[in-house]
Amino acid sequence: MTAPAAWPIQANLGGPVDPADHIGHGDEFDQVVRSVGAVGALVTGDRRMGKTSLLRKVEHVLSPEHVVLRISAETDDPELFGRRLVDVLRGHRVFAEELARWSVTVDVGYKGVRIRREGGVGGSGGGGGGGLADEPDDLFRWAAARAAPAKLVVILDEIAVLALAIERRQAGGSVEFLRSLRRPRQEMDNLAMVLAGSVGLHHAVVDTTPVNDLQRVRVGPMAAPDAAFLARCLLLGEQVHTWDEDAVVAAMVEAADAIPYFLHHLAHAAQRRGTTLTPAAVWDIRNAALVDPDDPWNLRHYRDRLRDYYGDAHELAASVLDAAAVADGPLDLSQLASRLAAMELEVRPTRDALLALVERLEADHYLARQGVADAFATRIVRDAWRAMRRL
Amino acid sequence: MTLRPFTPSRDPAAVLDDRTVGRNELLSSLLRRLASAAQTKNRPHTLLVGPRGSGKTHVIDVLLHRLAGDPLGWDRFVIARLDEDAVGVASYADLLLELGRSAGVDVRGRDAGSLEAALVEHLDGRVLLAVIENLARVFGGMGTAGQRDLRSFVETTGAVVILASTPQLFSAIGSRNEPWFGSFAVEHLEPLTVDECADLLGHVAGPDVVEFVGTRRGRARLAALHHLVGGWPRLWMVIAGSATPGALDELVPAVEQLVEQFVPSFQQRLWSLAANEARLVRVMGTGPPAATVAELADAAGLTERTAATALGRLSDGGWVRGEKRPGADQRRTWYRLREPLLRLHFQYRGGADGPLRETVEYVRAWFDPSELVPPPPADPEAAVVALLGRVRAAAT
Repeated sequence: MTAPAAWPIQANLGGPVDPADHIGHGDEFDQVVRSVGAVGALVTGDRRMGKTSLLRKVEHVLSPEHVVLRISAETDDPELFGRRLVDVLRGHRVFAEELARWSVTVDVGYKGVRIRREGGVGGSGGGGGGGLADEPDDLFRWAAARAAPAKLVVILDEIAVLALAIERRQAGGSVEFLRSLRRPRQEMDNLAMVLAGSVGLHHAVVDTTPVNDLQRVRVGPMAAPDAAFLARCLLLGEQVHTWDEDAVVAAMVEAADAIPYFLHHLAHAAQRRGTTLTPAAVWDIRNAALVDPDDPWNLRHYRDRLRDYYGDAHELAASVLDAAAVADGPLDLSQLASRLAAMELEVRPTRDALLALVERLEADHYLARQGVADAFATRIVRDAWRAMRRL
Repeated sequence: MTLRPFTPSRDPAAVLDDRTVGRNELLSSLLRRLASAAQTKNRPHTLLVGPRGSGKTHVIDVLLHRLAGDPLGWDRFVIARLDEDAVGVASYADLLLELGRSAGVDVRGRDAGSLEAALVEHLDGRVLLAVIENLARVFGGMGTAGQRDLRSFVETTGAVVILASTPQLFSAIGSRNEPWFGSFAVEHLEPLTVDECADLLGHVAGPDVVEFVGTRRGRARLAALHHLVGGWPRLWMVIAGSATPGALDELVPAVEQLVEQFVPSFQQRLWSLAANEARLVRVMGTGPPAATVAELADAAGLTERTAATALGRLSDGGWVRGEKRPGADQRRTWYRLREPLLRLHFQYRGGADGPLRETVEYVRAWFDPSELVPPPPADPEAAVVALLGRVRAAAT
């Protein structure tokens, strides 16, 4: 089978991506699509890995066969989320007629997402002469019943943000909210949910058991051949000239660690340079970005968010990352502990505390486990860390 | 020709387009980006970054003008624009209200949810091109919650492209915890080169100035002036509107005319600073062009900690920029004023005996092909300051 020819794709540094231009993450895509045959998936991954773009492709591919609702839950305002959910439902042929006959309110809170219909008029599906009101029902249960026999696939992006907003209104509310989402997918055979978020759910809820029925799909860097293909498309789209495209593409993939966001940045910067792109120039662009005071590739957050994420343990977390950044290879816990001992920390962590911290750093995409040892998840973050910490 | 250096949007876009210099590559790139948004479901957002007078509004006006003439793009967009003087955006609903009003939506009596629905209905399958100038101020007014709401609206509908501008980068787009983190293609507007400034004068200055600039001597004066005041287009529009060949040749009158026009603006801005910040700015305006925190703290009579905090605020506010020096200790940062004209302002306001005239004369000589002086050093201003220090020390 011959490889498809590259087509022009312009650098897109964060806006929605056309599903037709989504490249790579084929295994992750397959996992999500397969999960829809059961109750769904929990898609995780650091920001800018391409999760939302992947979800758009999932929506695009599943829509002809299933009833798909995709909505971003990135809001602190549960009421606004409810309004948007109604708008999304109204935009779908399966629900449009029904919703046109009723005045609908959606309540979003720790009890879940509940729909209440009032004053139904005309039509054959109930409601009758107006002025009627039915009991609030779980919106997703109601929607799945309406969509039957088709499968209802609900894609909720950035779910942790909404969960945190609910938690702020009601202590323990985020766990209850996630449980409320679980109930209908356990009860309705034709309902699947795909939950996603760059902010790990572990930051929003202490207990993540309400989502343990979902298949976990982790979105990380692309496979190298996919990254190379994307690089070729970006060079075309940004009209960047090269003398040796294969060498430049290989350099781009390596310099960007096969992460789509950085590939887009490389292509964008190459276009702005305006000269013929060489492998050396690719590395120049990348290395300049790592030390640029304006932080054009947005890497400084890896350092700055530690205080928010780790509270009193942020200095220890930074020390762990310092040790990992200068190590020749992955470090196991003993090696890590001995490196920390040499750093004259005020408080030396116990083995259990260190293990817990390392696991949190893995969950937050800093470190990746290799056997019993850990190293930086990507070389670009390691190099950025070295640059920021002057290591 | 009436020149409007401060309000380019009062000029017809076609006129602005005709006199555009130094921005054509950027405009082509932006036009291709928008054409892609028109023809596909890609929705790339763009943020133009440049200080006051760098030409952000000009670029936006010309881009929209060219888009209107592009058969592939215009009818796919609904344009909604918040200009740089837009005030009163204190929430997400306020932003939707302004965008809706600009797009021709009936916004009366609506809340955020119904404004969203009305906007989407109005789009009818087209793409909303939301042009937001001074994005930092708008985002600041909306707060993180409002920014999140905007983000999720944009992500859910897939029908919005944002073209925004800001005087400097700000934390709401650079911090991972913020919803718009890393979501924009950031395009920094660069100062015009000497040749581009000459081109600009060729478009807008009087014929006698254009003729003078075409001479070797005139080009040398332009290079000196460019070194002194920088290459931001607004300054050169002001120069074009006021300079004469004689003033440009002598240079001191041209610089003084220019600085004089910005005195009220600088005064207002300086008065708005806290006392410690104003002291640091004055030290940077009257002392060496670049200095470390310790040097600045010492000169301003502040503790290093206080100076560092104030410099952080000045940096956020776009007054100063920090820089590392190759080969030097990378833990040290040298600070300098972002706007060269501000240093000249302090020198000019220092009185007729102030150092402005000497500074300009030296730089004029350095760039003069007939003068028997060495070629300009890498940082002529620092050399001037050092030289003046030596001259004054010798005189006393």
